[in-house]
Amino acid sequence: MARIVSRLDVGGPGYAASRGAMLTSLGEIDGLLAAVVGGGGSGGTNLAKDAASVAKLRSRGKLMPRERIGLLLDRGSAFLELSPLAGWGTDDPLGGGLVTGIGTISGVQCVISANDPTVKGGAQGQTSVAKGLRAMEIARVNRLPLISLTESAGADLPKQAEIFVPGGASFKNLTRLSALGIPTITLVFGSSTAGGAYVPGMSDYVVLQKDSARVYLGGPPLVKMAIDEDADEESLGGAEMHARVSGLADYLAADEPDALRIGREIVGHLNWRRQGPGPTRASVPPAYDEDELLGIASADVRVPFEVREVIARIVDGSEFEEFKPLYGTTLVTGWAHLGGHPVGILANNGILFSEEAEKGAQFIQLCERHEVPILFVQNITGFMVGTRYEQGGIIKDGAKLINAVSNSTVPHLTLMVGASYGAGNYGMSGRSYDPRFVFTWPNHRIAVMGPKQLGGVLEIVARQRTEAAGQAFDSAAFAPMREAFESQVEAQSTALYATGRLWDDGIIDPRDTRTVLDLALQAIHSATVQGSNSYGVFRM
Amino acid sequence: MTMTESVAAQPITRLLVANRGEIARRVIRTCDELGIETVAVFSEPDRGAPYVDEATVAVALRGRTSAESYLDVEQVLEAARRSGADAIHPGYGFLSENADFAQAVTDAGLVWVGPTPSAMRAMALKVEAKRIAAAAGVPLVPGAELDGDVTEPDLLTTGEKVGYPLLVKASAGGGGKGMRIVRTSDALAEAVTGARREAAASFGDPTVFLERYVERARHVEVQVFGDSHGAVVHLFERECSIQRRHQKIVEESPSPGATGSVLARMYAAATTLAAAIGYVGAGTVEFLVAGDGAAQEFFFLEMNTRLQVEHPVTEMVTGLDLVAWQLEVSQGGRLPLQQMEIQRSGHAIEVRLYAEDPARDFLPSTGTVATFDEWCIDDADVRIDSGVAAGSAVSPFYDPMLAKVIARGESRAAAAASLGSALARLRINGVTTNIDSLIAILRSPGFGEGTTTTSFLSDHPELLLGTLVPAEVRRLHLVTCAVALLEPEPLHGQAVPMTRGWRNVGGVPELVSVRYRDGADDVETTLGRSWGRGGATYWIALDTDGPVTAAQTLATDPRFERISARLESEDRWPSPEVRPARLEIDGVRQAVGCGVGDDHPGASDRAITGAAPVPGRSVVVESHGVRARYDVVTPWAGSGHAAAAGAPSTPVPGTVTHVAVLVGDVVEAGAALVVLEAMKMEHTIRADTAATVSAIHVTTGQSVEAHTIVATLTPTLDS
Repeated sequence: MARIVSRLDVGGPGYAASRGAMLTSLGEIDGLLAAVVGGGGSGGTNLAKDAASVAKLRSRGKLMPRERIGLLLDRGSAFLELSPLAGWGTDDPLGGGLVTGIGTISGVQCVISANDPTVKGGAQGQTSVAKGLRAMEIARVNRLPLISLTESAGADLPKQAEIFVPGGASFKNLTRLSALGIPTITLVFGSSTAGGAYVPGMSDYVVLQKDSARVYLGGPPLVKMAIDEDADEESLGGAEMHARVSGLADYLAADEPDALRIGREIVGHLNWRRQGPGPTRASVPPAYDEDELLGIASADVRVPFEVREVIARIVDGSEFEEFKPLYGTTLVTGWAHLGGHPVGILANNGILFSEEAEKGAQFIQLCERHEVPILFVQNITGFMVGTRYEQGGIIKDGAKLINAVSNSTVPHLTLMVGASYGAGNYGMSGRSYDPRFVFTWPNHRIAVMGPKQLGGVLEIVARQRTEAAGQAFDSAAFAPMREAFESQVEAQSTALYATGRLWDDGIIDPRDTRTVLDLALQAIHSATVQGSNSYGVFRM
Repeated sequence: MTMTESVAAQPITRLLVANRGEIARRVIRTCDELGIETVAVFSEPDRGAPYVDEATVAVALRGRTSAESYLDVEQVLEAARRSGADAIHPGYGFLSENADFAQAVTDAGLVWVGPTPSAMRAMALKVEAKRIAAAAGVPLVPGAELDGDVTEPDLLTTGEKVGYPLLVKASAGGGGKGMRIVRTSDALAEAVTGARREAAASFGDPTVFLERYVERARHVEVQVFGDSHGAVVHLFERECSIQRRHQKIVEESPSPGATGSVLARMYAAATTLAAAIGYVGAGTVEFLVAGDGAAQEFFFLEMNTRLQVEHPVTEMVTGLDLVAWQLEVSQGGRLPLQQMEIQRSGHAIEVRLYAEDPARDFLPSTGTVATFDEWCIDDADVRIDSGVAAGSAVSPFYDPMLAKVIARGESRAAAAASLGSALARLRINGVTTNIDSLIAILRSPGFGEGTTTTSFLSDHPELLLGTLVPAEVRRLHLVTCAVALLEPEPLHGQAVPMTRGWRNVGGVPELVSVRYRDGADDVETTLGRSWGRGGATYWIALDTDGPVTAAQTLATDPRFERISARLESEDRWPSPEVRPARLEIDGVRQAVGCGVGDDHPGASDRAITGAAPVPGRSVVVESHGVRARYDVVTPWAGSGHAAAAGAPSTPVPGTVTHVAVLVGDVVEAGAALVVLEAMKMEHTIRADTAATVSAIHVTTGQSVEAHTIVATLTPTLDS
């Protein structure tokens, strides 16, 4: 396999500018992440209130969710936190008051989901529900045990209308995971009431913390209202009661560390066996410095860059066996290893033509046959338009690619390193095509098309309508409207906007790309890797 | 009295060593050199001991305790018959001073490597020995015999006559077993009762006697040798004043304290006594030496009719092989040298390496010796007589001595320096030992000055804590621990190394808590590591008073210091053996030694409470001449097991010898509940508060594990 020869000019002005812009973006993201980790839920906008929430938690001797996760994980385990900035740009607290991620417990790679009790008491809003459902989906498709660290005030009542119906799927998902043989373990540290009571209720294993866990359908006020009974919290849903009387608890934990200890022991006895193949060779670092990933992609997604420079800095030994290098050259396809796992890679160098679509469809079929996971690296401004291309059948060819992607059964990983415009997003296994994971660089932009093009299209349509009515189109008068629209599209196509709405599984530092994909590949291989085999490979 | 029995001239071809551990290896070594085949005997726990493999033939004994195995005369004689042995060497301890056994060996037609049964009997009972010594003109310490049924008033009168402080000693005993110091008359009765019980358990004879306790005296003993042709010589003296619980731990020759005139008189007294009982073989006459200069005086203590533990000291300064001499005279031969031909040169010091915790009242430590690297000491003037090797089990059934390390030098200072340095290089892991304390003793000014009396360790209790570690060295150690425990490495055998402790969302350091010894105190602290792109950041605190779990608070916790550090080693990393490494803290590089192991009982004790998937790891760090161990503790240690906390429990595994209370008894705080014998020592388990005994969970004679709860107490509440 040939090593990619890098032609990146690390001394050039373009590199320095891109790197500077990337570091600025990362600085902004780091600030947001620090606010999420700090707790409280204001996203850094109300530090005094956040500090008060955290102080209240500390005063009760309780731990922050990431501290709980730290005790649960094996010493030295990595923790890949998912969608930490979910909720950005929405009414919901940044991060959604829920921490989700992948880490190793007692030697078993698991999905972990933990409420942040300092954020609205762990109450669930739209973002929390979406994030929780996504964590369950990741557990299901990758066959990873799910551990929930629960301390939640239940539904965020002012937002009940937004979450009541979709939120119900959580309980269904838990039992479906169980039916699939994927263990579900819930450790309850505090309140887990009303609908929340079904989280322990539907789990395979339930650990309740003594003197702290409260699990009931209705608390004292509701019970008083409903049946005029005076009941105390311990009798209704205390940990001791559930451990000794109702039997809801399988284990009674003395304190938080004890609950986490029990959680570790449960995972330890699951007799868990990974079903996917392990790495086929030793992991070798890339030949080029991962730090240089900062300066490859411009902050302006309209500036093209060579995607092989990205591949060279994420795959083992920078070695890449390119498939059809001379045909359909704006789509780079080929074979590599990442963390010792074989991967097939489809990576864009800009726009897709018919040749690229057919090449991609053919390559995906080969990955299916070889049962090799596929990494899609998206930097795509869309499918080519124009008479020549329409007449050349670009819809048919694009359909072949989308067909191949849609019906591919090997796991997909999607990495957003620049633009993701138009149907190219679909052809390259965008979020709605169910890749196992989607990770995004900070410079990423996603929309039906670029803001400038959309603004131009809007103006042309307006001009045509005006002129059809026999009036003169005043371009200058239309300009503010066009600018407003363009900036709205720009704002709605940023990486933060996308991650805020869970269109990805998180924005990552480009320097972490290889590590993140390595961990994701490990997660994928907890389940079998199986290709579809209805036809032979179509040569296109 | 001259020779009353003659020893047949009978050649030894196959010798059974009725002993275990280092002395068995010692005897086997000389036999190998002389072309004599050897037979080892071993109890169940000793099946894997080194001496068993080193003998020509080994015979298993039934049983685990000393009484069931090595003290069982019938089994040992049967082993000799089955293995075709024609001689028995008893070593020291066990049956070595049992005259009936010696007689039985002789009666079975075997050669007994030791004095005649009559000489043994004469010296075995200390009271009898003193009569003979007095008759031979040897000065005695004031003392008195005790009848088995002495009344308390009579006992007190006798005590006054002997004078306080006094010692209660077992007549049949030795090695400090059954011995107690009594400083005032009100403690005499309990001491006598306890000594009788221990004497009965250890020696099968409850007889005890009182003796003046000569404080700040020196313990000096003379090595004598006799043959069956009537010759008796001495091989100079050994001073063994530094003792713990009346058991010697440092021995040397020549004596740094006895004057020349006292020594000359002691040599004469010792040979006179030996000749008076027709002594054949190796023996030691023990004296107390009190005072200095011309006023110095000495008293006879006892005669040991066997090879002593500390005989290598004499061998190192005389160049002789005492075991070879024993074999020669027991075969009817003459002493190889006459008195005039026996020369001494230089100075030799021996220390006894025990599996025990000097800072915790010498609590024995059991477990598996994980590392024992004698090869680290490559010095012709240093000798190691060890009974263990890496992988050996240290069981609660026998004396916890692991090895003796002996160094010879041209001067006392040279020998002490050489021995201290050898001990510092000896790598031993897996059990707690007194090695740090031994090094501290050898390097202390008091030892250097030779002001070593039997009170040396009570005058210098700080030496029992080992070397005190300055805060700056401790900090360095903790940084080394943090890096060693939180350094990148493959997890759980996965082929793909994950980036250790990698996080895509920062601000929450990974934590590991460790426990270390600071003097007699256990200190717990937490160390942190934050994953960082340019290298990790470590968080160090000298003491956090228990594991810290709130990882996000480290940055604002004044106890924690933030350090950037790297640890590099040429060797495969991490290794369970202490290996040289380079520690770089904030750009300053220094040499440290570091080993990371999974093998420490201290850590696994805590780990048992819940951390089965977490290896009970520990780190040993060496720097600035200080070696210290850091055991990983889990934050959930003890939680969920609160029911057991505070209940009276056994500190070590052992056998219950006495249950002092009944269910329903109301006891005061400090009252004895149960007496446990472990490692041949008595441990009294006491009530920690005033309470009513609501249940008793053990019975006399029961073998119990460590941490067994012996009774349930209901605290008496103040109204």
